[in-house]
Amino acid sequence: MTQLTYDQIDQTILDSLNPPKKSYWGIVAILLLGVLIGAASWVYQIFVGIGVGGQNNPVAWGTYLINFVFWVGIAHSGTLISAILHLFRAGWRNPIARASETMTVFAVCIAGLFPFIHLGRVWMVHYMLPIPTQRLLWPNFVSPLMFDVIAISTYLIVSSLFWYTGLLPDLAVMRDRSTGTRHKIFKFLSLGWTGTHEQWRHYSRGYLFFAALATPLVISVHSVVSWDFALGITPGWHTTIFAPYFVAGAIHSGLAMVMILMIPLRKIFNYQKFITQDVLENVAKTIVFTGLIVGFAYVTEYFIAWYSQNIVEMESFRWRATGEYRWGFFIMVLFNTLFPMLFIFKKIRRTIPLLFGICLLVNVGMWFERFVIIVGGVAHGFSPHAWGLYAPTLVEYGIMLGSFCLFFFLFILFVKHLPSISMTEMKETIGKGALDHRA
Amino acid sequence: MKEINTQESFLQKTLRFWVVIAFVLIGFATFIYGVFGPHPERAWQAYLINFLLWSGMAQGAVLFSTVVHLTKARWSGPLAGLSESFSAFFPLSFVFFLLLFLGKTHLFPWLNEDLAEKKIWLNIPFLFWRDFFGLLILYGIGFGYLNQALQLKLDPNQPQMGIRKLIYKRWKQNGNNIELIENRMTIWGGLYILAFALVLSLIGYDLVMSMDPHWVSTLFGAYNFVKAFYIGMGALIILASVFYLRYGEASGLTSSHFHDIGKLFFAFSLLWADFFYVQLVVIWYGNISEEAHYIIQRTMLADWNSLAWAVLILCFVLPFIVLLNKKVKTKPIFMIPICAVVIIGIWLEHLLLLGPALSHNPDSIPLGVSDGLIFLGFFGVMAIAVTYFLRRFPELVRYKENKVA
Repeated sequence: MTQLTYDQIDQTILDSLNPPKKSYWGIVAILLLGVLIGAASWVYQIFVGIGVGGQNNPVAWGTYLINFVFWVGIAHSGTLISAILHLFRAGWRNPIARASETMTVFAVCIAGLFPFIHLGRVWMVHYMLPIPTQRLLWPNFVSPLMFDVIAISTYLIVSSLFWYTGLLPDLAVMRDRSTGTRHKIFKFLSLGWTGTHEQWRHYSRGYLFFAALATPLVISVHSVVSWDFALGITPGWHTTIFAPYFVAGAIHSGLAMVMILMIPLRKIFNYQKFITQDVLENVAKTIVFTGLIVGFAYVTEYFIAWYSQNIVEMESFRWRATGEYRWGFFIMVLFNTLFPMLFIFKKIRRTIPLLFGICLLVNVGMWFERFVIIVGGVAHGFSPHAWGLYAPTLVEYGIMLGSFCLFFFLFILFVKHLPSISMTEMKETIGKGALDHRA
Repeated sequence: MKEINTQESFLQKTLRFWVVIAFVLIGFATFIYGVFGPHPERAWQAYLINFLLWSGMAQGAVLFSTVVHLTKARWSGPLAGLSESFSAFFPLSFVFFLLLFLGKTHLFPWLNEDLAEKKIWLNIPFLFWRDFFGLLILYGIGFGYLNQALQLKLDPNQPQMGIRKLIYKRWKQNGNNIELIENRMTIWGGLYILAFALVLSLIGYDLVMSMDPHWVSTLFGAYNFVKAFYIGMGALIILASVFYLRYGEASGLTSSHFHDIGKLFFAFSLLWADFFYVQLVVIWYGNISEEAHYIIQRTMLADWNSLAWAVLILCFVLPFIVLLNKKVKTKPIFMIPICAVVIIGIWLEHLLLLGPALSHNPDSIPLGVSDGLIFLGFFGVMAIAVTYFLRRFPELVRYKENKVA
């Protein structure tokens, strides 16, 4: 690693922004098609009504809420990597921090779309804002859904600002190396960065403060998301472990998503020197840790349901593993806790295809975890008379496809238009020898 | 730089040593007097709280060493070695646990209750056996880890006697292979972390949560081990501070060590508050009678509500505000009282959780001089155990980065 020079770093990273090949635009077009399918499905739902989704009574929350929680979860590991690991001075996070933080911003944006979609009458969205109507009615501030609006919008603002602040010195490098319109755009975006001592001082303090503020924020945001469920008294939802369990699960899925993005990225852009095997290995080790926390939560929920001898809780958890959605439950347990444990073996976490494959499974597993919790909770509540099942409709699948395509669409545009590795932080890394001595 | 002399006072039988012995005797006498007095349940309550507090502290402090090894955190320096000295309390903690059996009639309010199906889990023989094996496994793994970790720290030029001889022999057997020992440390350390989470959860359920047998909280186990790590770190900071104040830089400790562990301690004050709050808010908001009575009694009704506020202030508000300041974290002289306040806060927190269930008169807080004296007795036992360990392994105090790469 030490043989890298500042110039090589700039060159390799800026090379990734060269005009792309035709195949790139092909992929962009395919993803855009997916986005359009999602948009068309939503437009169809707006015209026909929310009834085109599979939500029913009792299962009023379906894939829209599952995807909402899934994408908020994906967002979380970006902040873990960029903020929490920055505070821990874990040097190995430097090469993947930019891409992870970008992932966070996009994932929060997509997550934020789902409450709009779920509203049905999306033009009524201003009801969620803290403004009184003409009859002086305010939103219900003691509703967890209202907490969510505030938490998610705060998170979006802070993570965008954090992302942009980190980007400033790199934008200035791009400004200096570009001409014409590009030069003008980057001149505007880099906010007059000249790299004076004073600017660097403010920058590094600002970055540190952002990291320090983002850390409790990220924990609070997913805690609030978990309270959308835990504050209600539905069996399977009302449990105190939810907040830390959701935070760990969010980071679990997010780290897996980071791997899914980084493994192709390092190959396509020749980033192997930056995103080394050691970096991927450290992410894999962190996945083992989060997988254990998630597994601990699964076991605890079952144990306490049995220990309490509360018949409703016991039935709820019996049904979770043996009822109609048992496949979802087994996918969740296998993919989230057992498969990631394979990363304990060094050989597996150093084999790239296995790393990629298991991370893919973790993301599938985490999606099903939300399915099991959200749908399972309301489908099998207190009163047997009100039990019911749910299946997503084509419109919902269309919107879900759209959301995944939108995420990759935004990300693929990002990697070709902005530096996907922070040149600043890579230079800091070799300056401090962080990768050699702290990894 | 002051040279450390092992013959010097701290580790030897000075006045301070006899004061600590006096603490132990006073604590023991108070406990015995209480047990045979008119209110044996009060003495047993104090005993249980102290057992939980000091055992959790020792388990949490050793966890520090395993965690910094597994995360390859180089910043810890001599702190890891010092934290291992708390393992000397493990055997004592085990004995204290066994003695709990004698007070079972005063300790488990559900003994006279008809628990119906819950009896399968909540019965005295099963409870004691499972906790017995749990602690045995946890402490066994802890010593397994130390057996490896100490090989790397042992100074071959010191006289090798007793336990040192055993570890020195191992070091020779392993062919001085540092990498091999570090790999073994990783395995033992990983197992210790797992056992720590599981066994402390079990202890939390069995010896704290079950005192109100119809109340449950899924986070309770995790809350119990986060708490133990929090006070373990507090105790470690106090120990390191004592050595730093006495020997200065010769102890191998620098102000940046205090700054770093201070930040971690600060983070854990937040984490403790988070775990405390997330349980409270879910139960308060859900407002189901079988759950809510627990927090109503402890946080809303007098006099317990004032204790709840005291706990929140001592364990979170105070350390949070004070530790925001960088200078405070780097100065051991300030860190000693802050960590002590947190430890006392956690003692009171145990009282808050256990008191209403164990006390026959739950309207007022059962807290008196005898509780303080029993606390001092346990403090004395911990001080003797740690001192004994450090006398056996003086290289942990005179830290040199010799073998550890």
